[in-house]
Amino acid sequence: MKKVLLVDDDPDFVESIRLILEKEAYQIIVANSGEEGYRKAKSQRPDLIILDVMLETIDKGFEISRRLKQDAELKKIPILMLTAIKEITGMNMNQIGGYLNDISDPNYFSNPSINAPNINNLIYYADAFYEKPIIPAEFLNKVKILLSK
Amino acid sequence: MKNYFYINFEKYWLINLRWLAVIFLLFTPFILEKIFKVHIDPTTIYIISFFILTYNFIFFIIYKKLNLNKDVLDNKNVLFDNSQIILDIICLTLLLHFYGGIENLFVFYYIFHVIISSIILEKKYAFLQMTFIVFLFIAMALGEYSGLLKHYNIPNFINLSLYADSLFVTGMIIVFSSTMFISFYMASTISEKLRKREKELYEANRLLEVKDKIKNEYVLRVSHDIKGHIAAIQNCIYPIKDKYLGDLNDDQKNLLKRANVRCEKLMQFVKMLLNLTIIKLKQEDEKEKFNPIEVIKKAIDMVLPTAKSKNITIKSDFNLDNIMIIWNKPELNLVITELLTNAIKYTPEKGKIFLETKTKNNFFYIEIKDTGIGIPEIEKKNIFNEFFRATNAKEIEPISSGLGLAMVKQIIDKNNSEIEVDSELNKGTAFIIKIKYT
Repeated sequence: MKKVLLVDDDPDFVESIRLILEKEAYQIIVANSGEEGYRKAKSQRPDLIILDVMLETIDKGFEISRRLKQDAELKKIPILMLTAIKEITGMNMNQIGGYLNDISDPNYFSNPSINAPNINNLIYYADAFYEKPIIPAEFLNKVKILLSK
Repeated sequence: MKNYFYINFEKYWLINLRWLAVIFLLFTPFILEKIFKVHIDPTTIYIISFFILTYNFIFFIIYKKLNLNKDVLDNKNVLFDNSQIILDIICLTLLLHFYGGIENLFVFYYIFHVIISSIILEKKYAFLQMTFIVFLFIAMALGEYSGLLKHYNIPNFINLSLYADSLFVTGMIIVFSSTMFISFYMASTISEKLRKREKELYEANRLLEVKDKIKNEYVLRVSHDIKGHIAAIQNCIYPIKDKYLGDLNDDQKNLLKRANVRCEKLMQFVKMLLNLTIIKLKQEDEKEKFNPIEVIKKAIDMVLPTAKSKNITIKSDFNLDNIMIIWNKPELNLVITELLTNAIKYTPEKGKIFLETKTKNNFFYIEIKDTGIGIPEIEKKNIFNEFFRATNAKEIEPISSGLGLAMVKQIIDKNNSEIEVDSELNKGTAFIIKIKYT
């Protein structure tokens, strides 16, 4: 059974995401803060990390993903960033050319440099982005692709 | 920060006036000779004219090199203006002295210097300039009266030796000094009041901008919070609606669907409000040079699925490919997408949308035309207002934010471009964007 670590501090999101992932027979580990998420990633070695951007701070998720991707042992674990704050971080993710650094991008697998794209001079270390709210079918599909990588 | 207000003159106003004064000065001997049959030796006039030309030229260079900012009171500006006026006063006094002293009728011209300095200088400097004039005038009058200075007579003009008449000299000094003082007092009082009002206006304007910013930040915060809550609600609705948690009966499905539609509308509204507010808050934008055609093509691709679902065809015609504009790229995409989405929304099934681009007189035009419901004539002027919705649009789409076109207008204005609307009820609407290209 694939292990998925869900890092989000909003109990309503956690509950709704947990329910649909459990229906698909994934094992879910929940962390309610960025730091807890980092610790659990280290100790539990999940197959996928679903990470919210806005945690303890407005962009704590980015900090955690950077630390995860800089860790030699953990950097192989794919990260799916959840965000509701694209307006505030200035990430115009789906305004031009669809999601940046997204697995639905045909260049995603052929171009490894895309794993650390440079958006507005900031580097976001993530394998895919998903903007809240979550549409189950679409979201599960994305999870499946990331897990099969 | 502005702490002092100059009445805004043209940049080279004083300098340009001085060129004119020199021309006038050079012609004076001829005019006197030809019209008034008064002969004077013009040598001194030429020497002084040359001196004025020289320092005017130097001031012109300094002004150009230093690029003085006339809005700000700094030492450079004070020195610059004061020294110009001092030199002018000295030149006028010299001219008067060499051509008849206090008998010369051009003594009136001192008034110009008093008025100019009272308007453009701070009161204390204007007062000092005025005092300087009175001092020079009295020195000249008394100097020539006492014989300490030579008196240069103008032949055939005034044959009485007025300069040596004690009553005339006393009277002249009194009248002259009081005239100077009263001119100074009146001009500086008026200009001070004007300046104060200009400062108040500026402050009021600045305060308004600050308040507007606070309001926008407040809207941003509130709408962002609301968006978070709606997303959470939708996140809880979707798994049930999509039957991930078991089947629903028809009534449950019905109500849940209604709840979901309202959530989606609310989400759209909040997103639009967020977009609009962010655009308003962004002062300086990253503009770049790019070919707008690619952006337009991408925008068409983005709305194509929606158009197809209503059997609406989008025809585009780009007859120029090498055009470059300087704009905010994501914002252009937003504008085109919004206008196309609107066109689709208010065009009945099987309708048509035309997107054409063309260039004319250094301008690049994008026209988006539909065969939709059109806009009632009297409502046309309001369509770019926030929250405004045309009456016929409300019938078709009861729940909509009324923010889309407001956002479009905001973006167009920010990018120094223009948008026009041409519409006929029940026939269709055309939006024409006019952008300067490079």
